[in-house]
Amino acid sequence: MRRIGLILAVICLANLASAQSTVTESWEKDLENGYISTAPLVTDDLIIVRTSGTWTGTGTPHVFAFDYSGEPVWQIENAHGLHHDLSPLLLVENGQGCGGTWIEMVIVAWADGTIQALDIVTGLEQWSAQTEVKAWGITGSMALDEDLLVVPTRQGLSTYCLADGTLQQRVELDQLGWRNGVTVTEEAYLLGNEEGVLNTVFRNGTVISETIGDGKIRHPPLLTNAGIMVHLQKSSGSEIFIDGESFLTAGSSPAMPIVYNDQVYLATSKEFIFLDCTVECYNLGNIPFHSNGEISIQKLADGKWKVWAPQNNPEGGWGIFTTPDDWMMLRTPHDDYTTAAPGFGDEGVYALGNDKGILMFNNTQQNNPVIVQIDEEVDVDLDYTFIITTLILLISILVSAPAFILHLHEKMLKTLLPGVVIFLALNITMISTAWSEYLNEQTEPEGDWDESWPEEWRDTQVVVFELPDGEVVFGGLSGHKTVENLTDDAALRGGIIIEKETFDIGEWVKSIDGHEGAGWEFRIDGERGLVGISEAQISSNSVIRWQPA
Amino acid sequence: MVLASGTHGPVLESGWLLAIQVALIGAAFLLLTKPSKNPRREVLLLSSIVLFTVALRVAMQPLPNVQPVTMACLVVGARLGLRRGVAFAIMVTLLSNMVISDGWWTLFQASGWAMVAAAGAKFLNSEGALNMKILLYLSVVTSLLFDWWVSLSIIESGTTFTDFMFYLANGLTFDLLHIFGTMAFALWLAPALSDLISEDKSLTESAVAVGENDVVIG
Repeated sequence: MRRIGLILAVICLANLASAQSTVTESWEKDLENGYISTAPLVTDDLIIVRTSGTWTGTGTPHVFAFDYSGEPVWQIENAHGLHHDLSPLLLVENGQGCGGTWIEMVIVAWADGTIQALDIVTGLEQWSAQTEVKAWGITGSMALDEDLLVVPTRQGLSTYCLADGTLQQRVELDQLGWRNGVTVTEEAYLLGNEEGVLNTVFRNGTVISETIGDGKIRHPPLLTNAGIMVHLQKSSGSEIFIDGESFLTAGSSPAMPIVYNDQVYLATSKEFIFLDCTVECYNLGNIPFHSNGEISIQKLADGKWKVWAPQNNPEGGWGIFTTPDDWMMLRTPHDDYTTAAPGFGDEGVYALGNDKGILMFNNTQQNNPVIVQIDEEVDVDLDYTFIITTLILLISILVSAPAFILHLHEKMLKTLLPGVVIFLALNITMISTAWSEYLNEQTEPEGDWDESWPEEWRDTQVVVFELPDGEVVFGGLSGHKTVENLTDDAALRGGIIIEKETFDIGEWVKSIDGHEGAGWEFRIDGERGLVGISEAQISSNSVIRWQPA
Repeated sequence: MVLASGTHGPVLESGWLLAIQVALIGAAFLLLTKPSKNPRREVLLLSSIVLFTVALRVAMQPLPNVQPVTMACLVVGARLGLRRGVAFAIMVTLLSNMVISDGWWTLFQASGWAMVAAAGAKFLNSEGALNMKILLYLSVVTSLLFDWWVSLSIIESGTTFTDFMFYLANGLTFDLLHIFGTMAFALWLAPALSDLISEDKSLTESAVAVGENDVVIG
């Protein structure tokens, strides 16, 4: 009901918005070579976006620049790219300082450890640098410190002169980082890592390390009036700390929180959280929502703002939040798993990207840019089969009631049973899935973690294909609810072809990468799968193992 | 090796499926080679019920585990006896699986429905109208036992007892569907099917009796 209400509200607002605004340009592009996992940059005349991953088999990670009409301006690729090019693009205004002068640039950090400073107009490289690679290179967000570029590397921190890329400072750290964005303070740089340690790196090279807790810090620490805030990802759920003190527990797989005008916005797989940190922090409220990526702020003309968070589940879309009582969903025709925040430009222009690799741009000019776009053919998720079969069941109950009252049991069953059979048969997938989930909850899985896998994969979803020519493993995946979705994602990343066949009880895998053999079976955390792949439910840290039967 | 592992449990190696089918057909043939007073009419009756049941099973395929065959086996077992009931079960399974899907499970389905027919012959075999109360009880019990029996076909070398129990527990919703489906068929179709068989049987017997009694040996 709530969802339907929200969608209706969005439709009304969309109509209102379209009546008041003039859409001058709107386009979309399928970038066709990976996910868009981080926000597009929107400047006065360009939209710059990066794609991550090479899992189409032939593609490589790219950075594309388009003008407002959608025409390509320039593009670069990283032929040696690794998966997980997630570090946000960084816009640098022209200036002078360390190393001389520099033009307006976009800084690109790659998962292979490379940093490139590109001329924003032409895409030509101004300078580049290489940082360490330990399975991966840079995945966290960089920052500017006056005339320096501050880069959180895989196991340390480096600063470079903006003008020529000269290394100014290098600090080695003990722990590996993943999406370990850096925050610049007046005295130091703050960054977390995969061991739950908050490192404070002073400009003179001194490092103070503080263990926050047993978990991972995968976002730039936040500076609030109440202290330094960290959202620690734990093996189950997460915990928010302020100056090392536990403040709040929350759901799993935290998004990258953001602070704006003393308000802090956080999200997990379970909720979107509003904190007011004007003096001390207190919780204004939560909204059930699933977001694990970036959160961004849309500044409005009247000094107000809206907070956008991508929804990281198959429904996709973006939640637009004002207060715990005022939010809505932005839907597009291409909704899918999404972790990239929107990129905002002036006068209401914005760009969106999602895991399908679709870039969407809207150039909307209006005085009060309440940006709401909704596909008219939005799926309202009404399950007509369920509604109709429930009606049939109710009718059969009503019709059989007089026979029951008159103790004519045979007649009662004769009228009642067809309704029950129709209801059960047409809703068997839903019913058996719920039953299967219940049974799974009652059993403790053995687990299927391999100690040789990267530590970054812990608490993420992992898929193992035991192919005849060796084991192929994909980790660091998230957001999938069924074995089918997770397997498809991993296969897509590895260019592995999955052939399926459909039976009454769901879809089954017939062959993997051309290997059919006597069939394939899967295990979830070491337990044998007992239902079809589309029904088999998984958790946020499940290991799916595909084995020849 | 007879068996390999497959997506739905063991898979028969080539040739063995054919051998099982030949064995099942042979069994059905042997069960039907009982002297009959009017074999042509009996064959016609049994064939038409077999074809009707096969068609019904195939038509019900979109509804998972709704199995009209269970009810038909109970009624045919009750009305035509153990031998013809078992033969009926085997023929229906073989023919319908040719359309639906054939495999190792055919053996379990054929033997499962044969046991259902045997239960019908044992507990429902009485003159006059079908005892609906017993038929409904049998529908519940035989549907459940049939499902569990057929589930044995997924057992292979790596399957533990816990795995199997968990598999059975997972399938309970489908078992429930089988039970309710068989009960519904029993209430709606069984009396008509039973009457049809009884009527045809009495016609067969009376026609033959007249013919044979008229023959004077001397």
